[in-house]
Amino acid sequence: MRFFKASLRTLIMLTSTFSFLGGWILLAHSLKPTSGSSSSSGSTTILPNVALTALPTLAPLPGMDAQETQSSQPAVNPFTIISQPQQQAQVMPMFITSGS
Amino acid sequence: MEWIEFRAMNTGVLIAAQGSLAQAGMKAARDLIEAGEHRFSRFQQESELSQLNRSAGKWFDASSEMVDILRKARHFFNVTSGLFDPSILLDLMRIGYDRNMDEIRAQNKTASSPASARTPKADFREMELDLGSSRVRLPKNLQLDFGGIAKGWIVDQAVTLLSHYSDACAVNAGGDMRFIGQAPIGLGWPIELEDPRDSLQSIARLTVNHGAVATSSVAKRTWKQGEMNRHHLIDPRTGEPAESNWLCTTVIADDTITAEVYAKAILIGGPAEVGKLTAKNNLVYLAVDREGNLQGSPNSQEYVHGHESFYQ
Repeated sequence: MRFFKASLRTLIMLTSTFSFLGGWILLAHSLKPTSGSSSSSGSTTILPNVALTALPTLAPLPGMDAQETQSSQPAVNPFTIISQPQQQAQVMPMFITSGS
Repeated sequence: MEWIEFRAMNTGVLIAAQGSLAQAGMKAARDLIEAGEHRFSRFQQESELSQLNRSAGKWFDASSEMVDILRKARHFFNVTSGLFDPSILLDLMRIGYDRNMDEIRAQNKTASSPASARTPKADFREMELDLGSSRVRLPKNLQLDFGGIAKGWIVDQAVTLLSHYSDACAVNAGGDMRFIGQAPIGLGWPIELEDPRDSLQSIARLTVNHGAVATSSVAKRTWKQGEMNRHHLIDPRTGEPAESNWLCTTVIADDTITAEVYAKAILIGGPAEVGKLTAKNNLVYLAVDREGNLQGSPNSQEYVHGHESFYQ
């Protein structure tokens, strides 16, 4: 029984050590983020052999001041997601009026 | 949102709906549209309309659907001062529209018979309609064509049925369409207004929250009869294809039958009659002239996007 416990402790210690060292080596050799490469304007950043495309985001919410000054215009729900033509083509059919 | 497309009434039909019952609703709406076509087509010898035309001079036992469409036709004849008139079938046949449009197109858009003189016909107001016993009697020399009204009537019936299955749905039959409920995305239902000079181009985009849109065009159903260019929009005052300054007119209304009838009446009446036609009910209309200029009623501007040369 004592032999079994000692073996188990040794196994756990070695596994932990090698996992730690393996992770260290993996991170040390991975690609590093370049400063200023990520963009909020929706551009695409090209890294060696890797292309990262910015994810679509919601339209920015108007400030409180802007809402007050534009109170004469029709109110638009600020939480409405601005629909994109590409999404529209997938979600709805195209309606065309032309006479028959 | 789910949708199906098929061909009926010699045109393309699109039915769209969302929700768990969308498929069942679209199937029911399609069955209704096809039944409506069989009932109101003048090109099918066994249709109720063909039977009614053959019974001219005698009382005819009509279905409730036939009585309803005749009652509405009489109403629209009165409010448009006869610019909408379903009793133009003899004129349509005379100018070569004696087969369905698919057959005319298959024969190089050529009429099978030469032009002939106009024969006298009875006035549509002479039609007798007995609402109590659901009977109708056409005068002997009067024949009806529902080309200017049946499609709108059928679309209204189909989309109303579909709305029992779906809280957001639409039916579009050859450009005459109606929407019920809120569009699944965006701030309304987007509609492309086709350029009548080039069917591959859109001349403007319309957005409606609900209701109906219909367009009439002199550029779609065209053919040659001898040396003459013909189209299917008969001016009831002359019995000849309407000579309009406009290539197409679009009307936005609460229901499709109103939109369809007024789109035709406005196109036939042209600029001279449009004020009178739209003043009574504050209709929204748009018109495209031969140069591609878009014009319309003042209240139409809120529906139109993407056309720079819009004027009133």
